[in-house]
Amino acid sequence: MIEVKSLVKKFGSTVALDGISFTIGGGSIFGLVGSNGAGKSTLLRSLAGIYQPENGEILVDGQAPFENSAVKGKLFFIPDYPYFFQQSNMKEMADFYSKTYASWDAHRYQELCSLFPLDTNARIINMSKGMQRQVALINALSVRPNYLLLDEIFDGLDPVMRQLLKKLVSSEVSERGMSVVIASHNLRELEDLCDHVGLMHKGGVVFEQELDALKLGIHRVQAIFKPMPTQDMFQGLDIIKQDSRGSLLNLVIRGQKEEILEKLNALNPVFIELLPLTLEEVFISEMEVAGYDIENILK
Amino acid sequence: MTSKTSSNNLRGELIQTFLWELRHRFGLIALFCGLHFVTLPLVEILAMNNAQRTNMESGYVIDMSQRFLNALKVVLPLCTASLSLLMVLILSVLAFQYMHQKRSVDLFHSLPVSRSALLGGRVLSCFVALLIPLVLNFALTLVVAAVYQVAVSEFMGFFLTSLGWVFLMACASFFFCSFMAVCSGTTFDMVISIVVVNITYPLMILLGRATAGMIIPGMSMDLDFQSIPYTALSPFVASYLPLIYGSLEADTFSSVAFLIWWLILSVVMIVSALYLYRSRKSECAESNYAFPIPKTLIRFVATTAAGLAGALIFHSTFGSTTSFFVGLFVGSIIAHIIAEAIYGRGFKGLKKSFAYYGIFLVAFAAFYGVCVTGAFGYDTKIPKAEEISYVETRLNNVGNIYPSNGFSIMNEKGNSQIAWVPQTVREAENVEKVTALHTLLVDEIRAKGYPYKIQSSSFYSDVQLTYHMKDGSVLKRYFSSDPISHDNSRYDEAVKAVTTTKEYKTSGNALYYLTPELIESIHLYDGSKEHILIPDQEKLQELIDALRLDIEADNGSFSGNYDYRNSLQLNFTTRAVIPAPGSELQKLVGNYTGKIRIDAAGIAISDTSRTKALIEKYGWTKGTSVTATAASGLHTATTTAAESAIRLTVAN
Repeated sequence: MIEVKSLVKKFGSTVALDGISFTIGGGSIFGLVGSNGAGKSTLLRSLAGIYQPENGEILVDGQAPFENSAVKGKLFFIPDYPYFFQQSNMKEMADFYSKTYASWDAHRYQELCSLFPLDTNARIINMSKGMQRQVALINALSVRPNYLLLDEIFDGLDPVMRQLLKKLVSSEVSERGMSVVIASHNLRELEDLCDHVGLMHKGGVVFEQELDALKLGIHRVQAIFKPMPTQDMFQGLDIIKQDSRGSLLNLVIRGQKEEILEKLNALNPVFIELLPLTLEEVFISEMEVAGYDIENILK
Repeated sequence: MTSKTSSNNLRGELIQTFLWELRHRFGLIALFCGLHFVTLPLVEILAMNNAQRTNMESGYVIDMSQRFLNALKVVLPLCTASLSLLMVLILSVLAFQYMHQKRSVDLFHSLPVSRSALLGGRVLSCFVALLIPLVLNFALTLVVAAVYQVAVSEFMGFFLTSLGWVFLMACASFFFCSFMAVCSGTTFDMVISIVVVNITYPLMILLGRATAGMIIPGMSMDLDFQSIPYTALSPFVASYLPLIYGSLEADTFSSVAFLIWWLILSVVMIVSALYLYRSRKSECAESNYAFPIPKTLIRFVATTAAGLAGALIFHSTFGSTTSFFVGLFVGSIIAHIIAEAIYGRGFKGLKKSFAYYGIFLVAFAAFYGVCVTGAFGYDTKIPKAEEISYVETRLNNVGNIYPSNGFSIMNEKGNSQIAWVPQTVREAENVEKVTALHTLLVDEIRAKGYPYKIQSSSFYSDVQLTYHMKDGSVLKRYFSSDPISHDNSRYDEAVKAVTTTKEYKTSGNALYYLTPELIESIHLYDGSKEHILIPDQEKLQELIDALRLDIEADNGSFSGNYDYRNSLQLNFTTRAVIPAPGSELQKLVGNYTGKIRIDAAGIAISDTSRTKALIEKYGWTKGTSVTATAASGLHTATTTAAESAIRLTVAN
């Protein structure tokens, strides 16, 4: 289990992580979403023991990862730009990891190499961005980590490889109880893969929730009212976003489906439809609430 | 935040990192093995072959051991030390660049390897990588020596000490680089810092000493580059000094303090690097610096060195105190701006950086203030005569000259100094004359202008007093008498009072230790041609006696401006002898049991009537010189040994 308690990380005068707290249980896939510069990569690097927090605490199975080889042996971090030794090929990198991680599984490495269309003798530096990520993933999964930290792992992967990645990660989670933390802007992929999601903005966690509960707890409503109710008539509804086109009213409302319908039906709509939100829509709605000026950005 | 360092696996992690790194350095090790081979064993093979060929073809007898040693003395500083330092720089870049790139930091700092092991393993692997080419090629050099039947035992001490020194300084330099790597944000900054500190630090000390010497009376330059302060933070430069100055003698290292300093500093630097690395922020990669120590230090050192250089250049060109300060400002401000541009990647932080320039200005103002007020009494410190054991006294260009200035007693081959016999004053009455001269100098210079102003070059000093106190301490004062000596009868009298004492004339004067059996030949130059003489023992003794009488009878009227065309110059080539038991020479060499030679230079005598009469009596300048064949034979004999000699100028 990963516990993050009041974590603060600063870069000079810039506060990258501002007292965030959350918990990631074992065997879960935790998606980290957020605006650019929200602190996702900083959080992952802190979890990986690369950054030492200024304040607060990170506990991985009860121990801090910074300068703790025992904890780091259970973790594997694939950054947004994975590093490989100069002029190295896959075999040399595998050799390095096999000597560094006690949990290295050579058999698993061979298995994974056969799944990905990669030449193990080719220089990694000459490979494409997506292929380099595949190499990093092969090494990561061969280490058999308890905790896999992935930063923008989908970046550069073609759709087939994305599916393979999701399949491999899911199977590791289900078979071994591996926990995964993925930071990504690809919400569509996260939606497929994650069971938990944390939304970050300006160094803080806006929310951290189970994905299903999150999606069930927020809804888009399209309704036509004649006459249009006044704003005070919507009291009691947690409306995140509201706009209208003629008589068609679009609402994003937080709450349970039945409760929302009950309150809106009481206003006698001509037409009412309640739709589930995609993760991307949830993200945009919540970011707006958090003060992300989406309207101005998209103008 | 609880932080825990795993110590259970530290050893394993260290070994793993060490082996991995070493495996990846094999190429470099092989390359430097080759380069060291070309510049050490191969050079010796060529030197030995050349010597053998010369022996066979010309009939000259070249001492193979001496040739071997001579080649070694050239190659060690020029090639071996240089190659080792080049390897240090390359290894430092290869081993530490990982901590200067964000991507590689992501990899290495997320590995289950502690930072101590990560850095320690790399340091150890580089340590071994530096050692292998050196040991291998030194061993090969010994094989070469054995093949050419060189008497290895004669220089084994020097050989091993040199290997030890080159390796120690390679390690010290590498640890210095490690420290800089940990403190720097980028590899570029690391390399720049290493280069700049190693060049500007000795320069700063040298120019600082020169400036102080130009201001403070008595503190003229003492160019002892092997003293610790000159290269205290400059291992790359320090590496060369004992090799260049030949202080790595047979079995001992002549500058023990220098050696101890580098041993201690090496340990301090690597321990500091390991300590700092553990708390180094990973996010410092690719930033300006990880720890501000080197940046601040380098900026200060570079600014000061450039400022002093500018000041001295301007002062030597224009000669005024104003020009000194203009030069100081120009040099320092340029260096400061360049340093800021390099470390700040532009001029964005230039305005803020002037706070650091202010530090330099304050430091220089303090330094200058201390100098012009006499450095807390340094200028007026004159030891009491009763506390002085003896004074090494060198008075050059002071009217009459007996500047024997001491002489060396060398080993048989003339390549190692067994003892140095200085020109000393010991008798209480004479010591008082020296302190009186010192007091007069101080008073006159102080009376001429206080606070002191910057004077001409501090490299020139004609009054050198080294007091050896009864408590074992040493006090040195080197003066230039230029500001006060012109038409100064009081000064002239004070000087004459010292120089006309028998003790001053005879102490440290090789002529008073010379016996006929020590003399191999005499080269006599009469202003037009050279005569090579090999007189018999009796005549030699007569010549020595005449010279001694001339010296003792001298009344100090010699002007120093003798006409070289009408002067006589005597050059005694000495031979190696075992000093007679109980003789003065034997006392001077102490426990040394081997053969010795005397080596002295620059003895001038003003009143030479007895010597000239003797030379004329035996007609040594009128065709009685040895024949060309004999001279050639003599020359052949001396090529195998060092040219130990006593040179005298006998004025008309």
